[in-house]
Amino acid sequence: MNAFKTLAKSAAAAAIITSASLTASQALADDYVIDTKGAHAAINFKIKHLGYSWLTGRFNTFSGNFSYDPADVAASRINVTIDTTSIDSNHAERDKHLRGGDFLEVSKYPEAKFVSKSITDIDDDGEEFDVVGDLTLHGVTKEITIEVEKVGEGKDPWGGYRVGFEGETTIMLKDFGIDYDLGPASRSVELELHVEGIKQ
Amino acid sequence: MLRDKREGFGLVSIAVHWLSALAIIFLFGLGLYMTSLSYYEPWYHKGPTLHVSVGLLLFALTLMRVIWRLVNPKPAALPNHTPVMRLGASAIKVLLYALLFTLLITGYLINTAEGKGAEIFGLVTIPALIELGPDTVDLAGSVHLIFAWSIIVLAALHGGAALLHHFYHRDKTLVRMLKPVKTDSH
Repeated sequence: MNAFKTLAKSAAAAAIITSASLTASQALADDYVIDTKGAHAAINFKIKHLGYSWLTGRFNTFSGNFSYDPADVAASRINVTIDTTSIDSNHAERDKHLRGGDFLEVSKYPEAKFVSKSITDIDDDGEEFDVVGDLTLHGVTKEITIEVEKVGEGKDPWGGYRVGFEGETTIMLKDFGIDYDLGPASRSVELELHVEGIKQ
Repeated sequence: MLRDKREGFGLVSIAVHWLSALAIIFLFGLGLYMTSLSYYEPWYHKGPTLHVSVGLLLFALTLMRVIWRLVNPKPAALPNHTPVMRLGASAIKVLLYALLFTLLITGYLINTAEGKGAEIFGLVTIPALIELGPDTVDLAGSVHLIFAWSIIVLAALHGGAALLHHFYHRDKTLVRMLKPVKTDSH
């Protein structure tokens, strides 16, 4: 009798939990702001140097937000705006060169932007997916696909709620009107994105 | 012989003057050349290294030059120089010094903008004093280029004036910068 009661109780509890999670999954996607303030986000790049090694760098200043719903990943959206003047490869004169007319022309194009359009190839229970969107860089807008993997999500110790992803994509410099010759091994740049969003 | 006197320049001032002139012209040419190079040219890295090293040496030389100027008597203008000539010559000299110091300082700032010291032929490192943001560095770069052209134009005027004095006015203006003033033996 006791055993039956316990079973019934736990069944009821399970039903409550299920309905609760159903309600949650039916709720609208949550909005997140990328935690650039706390620098729990990074936009890194790497490009082959002569074909012998990787040169890495990053954009120090950017901002963005996204909406994300684990139950409906396809409805997710993301916007990121990058301050191109903040390019940093840990070398003053190279960074100056990268900001100049041979590369980013930051005086003319101080901003780069990514705006998502759709989510495709959702895999691994929504933990892996592709974000398709428009990247505007050096005044050229072109569709790119970022392969994204969710890193984790949950409450933070300070009363907030966070979710984080990492993403990777490769762009051809020439596609964005940057045709300075760095050699045959250095025509594409890999972009590596780490974003942690704080739920609003 | 070494020191300046009211009557003319000493050997130190003369040597420093011509050494600076050579260095400035060399740096100007090298600067234009190295910034025009593409990535695979052999001088792509050698150029800037040499430019920075010579630039820092010129910086040191110019600081010593100013001190030398202050501790020495100032050679007087030649008697045939009119007030207009004197004013023109001084104005160009002041401008040349101002441009030179701005060039030396902006060059140093661009090189050390991210906190790494500037090297003289890999032997001496001048530490970075201030780190600059990208906008400031790019501004320093534009100033460096514009002032480099300006100093060459002004130096050409300065040199042209010297030649005018030598060949047209037939005075000692140019010779004074070539022949050290004699030391009084008594």
